[in-house]
Parts: sequence; structure tokens; C-alpha cells
Amino acid sequence: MKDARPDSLPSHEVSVIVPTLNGARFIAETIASIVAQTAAPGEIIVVDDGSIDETASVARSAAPCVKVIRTQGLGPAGARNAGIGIAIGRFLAFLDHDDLWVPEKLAVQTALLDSDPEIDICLGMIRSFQDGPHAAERKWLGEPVPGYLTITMLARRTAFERIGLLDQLRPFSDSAEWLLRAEDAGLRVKMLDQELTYHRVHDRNHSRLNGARSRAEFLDLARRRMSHAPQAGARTPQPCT
Amino acid sequence: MMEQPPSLAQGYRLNEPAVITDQIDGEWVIMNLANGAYYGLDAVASCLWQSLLSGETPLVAGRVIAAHFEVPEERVAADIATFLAQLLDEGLLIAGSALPELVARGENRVPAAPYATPCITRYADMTRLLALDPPLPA
Repeated sequence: MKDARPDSLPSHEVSVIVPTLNGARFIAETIASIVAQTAAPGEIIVVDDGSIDETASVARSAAPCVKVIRTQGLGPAGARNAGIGIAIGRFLAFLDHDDLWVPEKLAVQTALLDSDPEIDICLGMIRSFQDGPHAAERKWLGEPVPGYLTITMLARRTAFERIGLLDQLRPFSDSAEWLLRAEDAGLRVKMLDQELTYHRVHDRNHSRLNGARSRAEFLDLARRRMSHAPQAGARTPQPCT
Repeated sequence: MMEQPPSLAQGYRLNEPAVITDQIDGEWVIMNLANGAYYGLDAVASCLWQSLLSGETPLVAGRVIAAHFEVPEERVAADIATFLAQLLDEGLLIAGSALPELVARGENRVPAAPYATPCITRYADMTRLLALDPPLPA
């Protein structure tokens, strides 16, 4: 992405990865929220994981700088990994095709990672919303909550190099599993007490359409955590006495 | 903490939809989606958990356990009362009849090991991670 700002700005070293599947309905607004960042990213990569709608053309039309790559049935985590594979940025950020960032999201997070080399991963608060009949009639659903999710994350590329990619076999719990793996490996994770991402709740949400599978995946993740020796500081088992 | 010991003569059921549980690779896992805590059970606790989910009262489940391990019913009943109080304190069970779809869930294997006080272990390392996912059942 070219603009008048000097290339030395840390935000220009951010690659934004947008996994999508049949996201034509929302992806233009999602890309607009990336383009509208007060600190522009270096590249926007849309990973179209087999859409049968106009997702790719809508994404390209949303901003000329968007790169669209095509994968087939990798799932959300696999699509993110495919994006990581071609991203050139020193920092990696992710946004799903139906979610939005506040305009300052990348500016706040790149400033933090740029100023504190000890921090590997920066996260932020997230708030859910639902569309009304008109854009101006959006309804907020609850208060902002800590977003331990890829869509709030700005991570150093080195974090992925150290602990590996997202688990492609976990389409629902990939964020949780990766962040636990990062913490177990001693990476430093900073949760900002600032609302940075908006999560759209709608009739086609991936995890809501597959709620039972999503819950089973989290149960499986819990069992795997239990079956390993506790990591120092990573868990607080409290057996009965 | 509960002021009165829980009744062993009545049935209990999973505190749905917030609490989910399943037997994975022979091991019971319980998760409270409301706070992200998850729990593991030892052998005797697993046997009791399965029995309670399938609609048995703690009293009946305790008698089966006591007979199997040849330990006094009074000892098992006291252990079950403590175990049950923990399950209720953690919000994993509530009073009521088992839901039909849970009755046949899992494989109930009476442990071969010597009797030991049933034990539940609580893990809190995922409590921060469950803000949005997984969604509660509709």
C-alpha cells in the first residue's frame, strides 16, 4: 500500500490477513476499516478459501492494493496460515471478513510493539454488535471483553517462527490454542484495555452455525491441556483436598 | 460455600447450557463456558460423574461404589457428599432429573484401582480465552 508516509513507519511493516469464505456480503466494509487505519498497513492479503460468491471481486474492488489469493477448504486457521506464508510484513494482523477495526487499532498496537521489544503479541478489547435494518441502527451486544483472538492481535512474525503456525485442524479454537502455546513458550502477550475490534454477530457466523463442533473443540483443547504436566504459571490446578 | 450438605437422595443434572462435558479418549472433561474453567476427574470421580449424569442419585451411586470396592457405605457417602458439594459450588450440577440425551453419554467404567476419595481438579488457564467462543447452545 503506497501513501505519502515514509516507509520507515512501523505500521508499513504490518501485513493484514483476511481469511474469507463466501464473504461478499461484508468484506467491503471490513477492508474499508483496514484502509481507514490512521496508521496504514504495508499490505492487505485476502485469502479466499473457496468462495462461490463474488468475494474475490468485491475484495479487489474495495481497495486496489488488496492481494487476493485462493485456497480451497483449508478452514479459517489454514487460510490464515496461507496468508502468513506469503506475507512480507514484520508484524502480522488478522481480521475476519465480517468484523471491523477501530481506525486507531494498528497505530496503537504498532506503537506498542515498536517501543517495547519485549512484547511479542498485542491484543485488545472486542465488542460484539448486530446490524440493524440500516447501518446507523447497529445494536451493541454487551460490553467490550478481552479479545484473546486473532482478530484483535498484532504479533511479531518472529512469534510464529518460534512457536509455529495456527493449528489448521482447529477451525474454532485456533486462537486459544495458539495463544496458550505462545504463553507456554514464554512469549510475552499484552492485552490492551482499549476497544480495538468490533465483532459482527449475524445469521452466518461460522462458530454459531457450528456451535456443537466449536464446543467439542474447546473441550478437546481442555483435555489436551490436562494431559500434559502443568507449565509454570500457565495454569492453576486446584485439586480437592 | 453451601450452608446445608447437599441431599444424596435426590437427582442432579448438568447445569446446561453453561456447562458442557464429554468423555474424550476415556477421560471425562467438564467445562464451564460461563467462566472458562475446566475440570478433570480421577477414576472414582469419573465413575460417579457418569452415574449422576445418567440419572442415578448420589445415594444409589455410592452404594454401587461401596459394594464394588468393599468399603463401608458410610465412608463412601461422606466422600460423595463432599464431592457433590464441590460440583454444586462450581456450578457444574444443579438439582433435577438428568436430561434424556445425557443418560447414555460416555462409557461407565468402574475403576479397577483401589478405592480413593473422588477428586476433581479445576484448571483456570483458559478462563480469559472464552470471551466470544465457543458460543453457548441456543
